Amino acid sequence: MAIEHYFILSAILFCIGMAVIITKKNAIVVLMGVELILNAANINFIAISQLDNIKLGGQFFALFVIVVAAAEAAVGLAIILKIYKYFSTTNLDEINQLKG
Amino acid sequence: MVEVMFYFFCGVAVLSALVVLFSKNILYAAFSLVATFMAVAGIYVIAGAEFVAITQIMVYVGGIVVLLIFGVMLTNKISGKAMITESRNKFSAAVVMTSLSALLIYAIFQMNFTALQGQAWIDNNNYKPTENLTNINQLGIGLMSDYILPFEIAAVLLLVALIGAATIAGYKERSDGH
Amino acid sequence: MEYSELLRPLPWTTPTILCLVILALPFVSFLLMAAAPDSSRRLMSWVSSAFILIAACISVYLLLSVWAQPASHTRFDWFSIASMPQITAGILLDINAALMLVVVNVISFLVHVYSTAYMKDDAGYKKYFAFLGLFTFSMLGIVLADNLLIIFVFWELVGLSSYLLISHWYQKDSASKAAKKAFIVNRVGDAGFLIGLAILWVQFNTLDIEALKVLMSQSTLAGGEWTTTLGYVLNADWLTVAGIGLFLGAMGKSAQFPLQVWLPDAMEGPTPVSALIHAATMVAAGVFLMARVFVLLDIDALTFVATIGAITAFMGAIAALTQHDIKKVLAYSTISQLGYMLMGIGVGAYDAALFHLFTHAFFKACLFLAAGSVIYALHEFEHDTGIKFDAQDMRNMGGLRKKLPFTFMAYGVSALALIGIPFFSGFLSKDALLSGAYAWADVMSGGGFSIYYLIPDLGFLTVILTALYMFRQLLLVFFGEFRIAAQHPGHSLTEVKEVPLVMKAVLTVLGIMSLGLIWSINPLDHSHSWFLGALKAPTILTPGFDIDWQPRLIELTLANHIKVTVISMTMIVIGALTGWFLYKPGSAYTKGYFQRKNTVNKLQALSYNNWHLDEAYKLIIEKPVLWIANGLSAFEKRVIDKAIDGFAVINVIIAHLIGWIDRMVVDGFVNFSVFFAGRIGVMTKSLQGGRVQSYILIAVFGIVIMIFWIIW
Repeated sequence: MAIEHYFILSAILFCIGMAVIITKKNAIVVLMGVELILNAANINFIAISQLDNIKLGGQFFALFVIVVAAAEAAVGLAIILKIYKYFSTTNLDEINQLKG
Repeated sequence: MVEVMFYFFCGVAVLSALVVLFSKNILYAAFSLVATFMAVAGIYVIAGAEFVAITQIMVYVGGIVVLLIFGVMLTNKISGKAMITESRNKFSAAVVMTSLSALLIYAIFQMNFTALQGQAWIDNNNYKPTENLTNINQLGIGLMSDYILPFEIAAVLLLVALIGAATIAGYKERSDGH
Repeated sequence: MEYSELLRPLPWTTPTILCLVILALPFVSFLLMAAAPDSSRRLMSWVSSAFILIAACISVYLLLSVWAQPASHTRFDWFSIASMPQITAGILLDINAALMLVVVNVISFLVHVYSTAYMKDDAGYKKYFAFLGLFTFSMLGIVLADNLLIIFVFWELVGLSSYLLISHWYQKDSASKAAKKAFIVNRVGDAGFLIGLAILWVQFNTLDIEALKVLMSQSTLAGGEWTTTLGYVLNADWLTVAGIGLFLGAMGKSAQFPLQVWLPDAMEGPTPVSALIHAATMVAAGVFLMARVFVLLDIDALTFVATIGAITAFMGAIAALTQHDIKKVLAYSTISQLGYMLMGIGVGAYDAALFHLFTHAFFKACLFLAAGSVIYALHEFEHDTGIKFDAQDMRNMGGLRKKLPFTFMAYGVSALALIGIPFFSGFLSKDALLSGAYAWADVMSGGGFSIYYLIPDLGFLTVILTALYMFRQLLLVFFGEFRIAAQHPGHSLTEVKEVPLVMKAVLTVLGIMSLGLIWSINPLDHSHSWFLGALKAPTILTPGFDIDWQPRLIELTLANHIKVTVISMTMIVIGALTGWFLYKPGSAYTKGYFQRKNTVNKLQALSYNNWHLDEAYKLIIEKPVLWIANGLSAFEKRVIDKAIDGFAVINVIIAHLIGWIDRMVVDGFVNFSVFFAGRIGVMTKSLQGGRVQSYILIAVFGIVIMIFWIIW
């Protein structure tokens, strides 16, 4: 398999994740989109690391990304819970405090 | 055989991701996300990153998705009805994302990765490992040597995230006694 | 001659400074009276009388010092207009100004003194004396000024103060109307005066009398054009027009036909004021002005003056015949006598005219003050007995000779002087006047018979009438029975008391001044008069004037003298006898006089109503003016107002139209741009609706564009 195919898969997953972030109203689903994007990025790292079998920089980076993604998911869900307590909803349309 | 496996995983990943995108039911989305993560883990294996694939399954499927499902449960009144989420910005998002993916794919095809690959191949061939080390061995040595600092920071980060998440989401005694 | 030479300032001399003092005294008196508290009014009136007395004394001194001397003239620069020659002001004291000063001051003094008694119970006492001072001041200004412009200023002041004095009893409607009439009629004359001044100014660029004389004598009249040495050219007619214009001013003030209508009405003022107006101040101003500008008149203007004078003399005398008001008779007689004076000016008998002015001043003042005494006495009588009657109406009088012998004496003397009986002052002056008029007719008609003889003939006719109306008044007032008392038995003549001593004293002085001996050593021949000896007619300086005219006049005057005297004596006798037979006590006229109506037939109405002049004015001036005014007012209402309304309506329509355009187009544009901006605002606002996902979408869109830009 050419390395391009990894990239294309990554790009498609990235776009789908982005689309999820943009379109979904539920905050948790948006968080899912974020995970998709992180996965897309990881695919890229892994694909690149194929070219460097000795040092395996890509794999290390992917590991750290997974760690950070875990932390992010935990904190993000905590925030969503807090928001739910505060607004009684997770619908992002109704949480528009940033409105000018 | 490996190519078939690769494209199969690719197809599963993309399709389940699309299910996440188009499904209105949050739980369906969560479970198809599991499928995506599994497919991606398969692709990791094919790419020769077994440890990362295992970590992917453990952390994502075993941790994050479970967390997400708990989140769904905690933020919805359980009433027997399916948990539905609405979509918005459908049209503009479709346009932008389609054009973005088209652009990216176009750009990827335009790039000449073969030259890069060739150079890396030569380097790899010139490398003569003294010991026959597996992928996991290499990663373990790397984490304990070259990547010790990021590794420790990651540990601290996880701790901080753990405490932070607990603090943020945790039940707080109100000052008025409730 | 240059203007700088002609108009050079002349230094102050003792006589001119004294003149200034004389001028200031009545003004100070006016200010004092105006400022004095009401409680001290008696005292202050005597103080102001004393002021006038001082002025009178100084005038007498001045008269003696300028006697047969050249005129004193003081002049100073007043102001200048652009490149015009300097406007000067100054004092010109010549012999006739000095004489006039004496007359004005003496009569003013006597009137002041008389008024202290006559007006003593009047509410407007203080005001009255203040205005007397102002009146005297204004008249003295006319007499002393050396510049026609300043004369004009004082001329108007005289008009003003006469207005104030005639309307002294302004509560009476007739008094305020009479004052208004006097003022307005005088304005008509003043318009002419101004025209005269304007012509002189245009031609000579100065109004200084002495300079005018020089310039006038240097100007030439050739080919129908009047050219001055300065090169100003006017049509020759303007010379005559200037003279007539100046005379118009005199016509107003001196009550000449057709402007004499104000004078009888002016009788509404207090009697001493009438005396002052008639004798010394107002009416004399006109004659004095004509004497001042005498040398600037040409032969046509002089003829005009003479004609108007003669007509006025005759008309006044006719009007005096049938009056029943004691003061009205005197008023018309004044008009008649003023006609004489101006006729005298017109016929070139300058000296005789002035002589008549002075003699007339005294005997007319005496007549008025005597009439005032009669009125005063009858007022007292009315007050004592409680009978209500008009104290000025001769129908209520009669037989007063017995109870008011002193007044009768004064009245008789001055009436005889007015008629022109020998040994009285009027005889001398009237004789001189008629001689002059007769000589003038001779000169003008060149030996043959001509229409010019109408002028002296009218004069002679007037003599008859004068004798007639004066005898009538004398007989009706002082002879016969006291009619009002006869109608009310129980009251007798004894209750009429003689006037206070002050008034008597004044009458005495004036009566003495009416005697012929005062004015001439030979009371039968005016040519022996010291007065005429001093007053010589100046040579007329108008260009194109016949040099022989004046010497021939003098020559013929002397030659005609006896003839004229005989004629006028005859006339007087005719008039006096007619009067005696008509109005003697016990005649048919006097028997029915108490019940007599104002007029009994058309002829009498003509005379009683002063030739219907008032009605004529009403018909030819008031009615057309009112008609035009009404027409104009209707025109304005119907046409101009309508036009303006229409214009306004059009404006409103246009305004609505513009308003509509404003709303639709201008406002529409503004509204549209606001709406547009608003829509853009809403559109851009929706991008920042607080939805993080939208922000992300846009950010991604930006990234797409960036990538697109990079890879292309």
